Amino acid sequence: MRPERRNPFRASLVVEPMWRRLVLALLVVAVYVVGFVPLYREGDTAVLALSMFPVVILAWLFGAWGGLVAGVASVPLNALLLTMVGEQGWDLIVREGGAEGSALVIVVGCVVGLLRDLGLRLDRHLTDWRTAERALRETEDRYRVLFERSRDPMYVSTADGRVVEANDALVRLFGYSRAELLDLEVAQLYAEPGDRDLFRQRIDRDGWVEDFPVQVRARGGEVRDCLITATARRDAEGRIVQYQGSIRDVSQDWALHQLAERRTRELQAAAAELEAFTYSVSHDLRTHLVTLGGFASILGTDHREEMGEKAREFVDRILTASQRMDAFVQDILSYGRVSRAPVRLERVELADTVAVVRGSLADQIAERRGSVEVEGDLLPVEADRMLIERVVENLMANALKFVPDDKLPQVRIGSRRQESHVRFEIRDNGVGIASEDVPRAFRAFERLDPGRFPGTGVGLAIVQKAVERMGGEVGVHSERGGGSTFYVLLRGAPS
Amino acid sequence: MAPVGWILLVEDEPDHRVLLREALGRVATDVPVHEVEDGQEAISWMRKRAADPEALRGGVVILDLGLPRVSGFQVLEWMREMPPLVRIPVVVLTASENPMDADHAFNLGARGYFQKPTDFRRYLDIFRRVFQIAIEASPDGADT
Repeated sequence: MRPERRNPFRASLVVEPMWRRLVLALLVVAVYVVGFVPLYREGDTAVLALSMFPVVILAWLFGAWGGLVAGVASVPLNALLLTMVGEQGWDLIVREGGAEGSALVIVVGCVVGLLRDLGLRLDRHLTDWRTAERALRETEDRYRVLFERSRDPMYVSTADGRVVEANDALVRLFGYSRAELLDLEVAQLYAEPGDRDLFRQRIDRDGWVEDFPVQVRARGGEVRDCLITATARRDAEGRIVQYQGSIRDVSQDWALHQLAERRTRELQAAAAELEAFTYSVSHDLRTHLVTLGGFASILGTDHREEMGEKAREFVDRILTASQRMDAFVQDILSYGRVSRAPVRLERVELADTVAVVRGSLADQIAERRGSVEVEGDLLPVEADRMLIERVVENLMANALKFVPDDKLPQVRIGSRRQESHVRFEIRDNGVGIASEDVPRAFRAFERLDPGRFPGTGVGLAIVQKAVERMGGEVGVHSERGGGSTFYVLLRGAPS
Repeated sequence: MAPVGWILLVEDEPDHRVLLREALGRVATDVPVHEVEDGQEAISWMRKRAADPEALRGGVVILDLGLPRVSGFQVLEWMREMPPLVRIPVVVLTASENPMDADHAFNLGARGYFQKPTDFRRYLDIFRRVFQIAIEASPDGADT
């Protein structure tokens, strides 16, 4: 893009392309040569003026060097032209006052060339300056809009505590008019005078502050929590002259935060209430089950002979149902305990836990003629003693239970270190779990094979809850018909 | 056999009292069983006899936890403060087992903690264990 031609100087020939200027120069020289003979007869002044004409033009076109070269070149050219019209050209120029005239031509050529160069340079500076000024104004406008339209209050204040610039958001925050704001002492805006002292201390020391918490007081006396981010501006001597910054009104955030906290507390209380309710309902259910099962079992044993066959069958059905119901209620109670009991993590020797559980499952192991084998030394873990026992007990009971009747259960227990954790595994030779059923396995009340194996469907949910509460992870690798390997990942205790 | 001198049965649920009486009758026919319905009655019963240590010799308290007015825990606390009663063995028999309740009960001086079974035959095992505990607790238990 060509520069604008607002400056008349730039409209002249000096900025024409070189080839045009050269053509012009040739034309001028031609006019000079052609015009020389008729003008020569008019006398010396005419010759001087004629010699001056191409030199001035060339100086104008090519600058100081152009003027010098043209001036110097005009001397031999004049001599040549004089010789051609029959004069003693060289002698005339050297002897009869021609020397002064030639010198004048050269000097004028140089001066005109210099003026032209200076003008050009001045013009360039002028243009640069104008461009810079326009860019500055655009930048200023841009930042001004940012400042004015910002939703965060922004200000510039002096070191002695006066607001000199304030955006609309600041006006809104404090409720004063802009004029009032610019008139008052900054100290009036602080709800806590101590805030301002500390703010000044920090910004004077570091030159800036970020998210500095203050309490400001609006016009109506309303106090708001804010965060100031500001920078100090210094003069050439390094003295602070102004502060400029933005303020974030976090009162709203704080209110939201409070609301979220209150809602969380309410939810937690509701959840706790629900758990307590479940627990007390389960407890009451069990109270009546004790009665139901107790009397039914007296009937079923002591009075068996007095009853007819049908009555015996019915009593047995009541007994079976009450036992099933009891297992269910017990599991819900157990789930509730696992969810609610305080967790105390300590070093637990898995070997001890397995031994305890083995003891409590001794009847089941004997009944199924199963084997429980521990592979290698079990590593110690960080766990809650009660919770880890529930976990191992449920997993081991499952390993014994989910085995087809024609097979003897074989349970293998092992552990290995996995970075900072210990991976504890219980492997069985049972029916396994199809991979698509794995997610359901850990859900409460889900039973994958209800017709085939007894149970409440709460066991694995208890395991998962317990492991979760100890900050661990539980999972299973299994295949339908290929046995299952349940693993529990817990933080390891130093051996 | 007459392993224990007396039994104080603290149970608020009438159906459970019938069941427990029935079971006790089968394990120890000749032991006097006193039944009370809540913690307050249990305390009154024992307070009346506290003056005569001989009358309280060789007995055992079978205590439910969730009792109206005065709970089982409060009964345990009260007994712990009464020098003549400290040595009487107390066994907790409750509808729903809870390890934290069990710990608490043992800390307050209970000698045993059992969950009421739904199968009647299990009571007989439990009461045999209760009597064993009572015998171990009594000062002359070793000779019996």
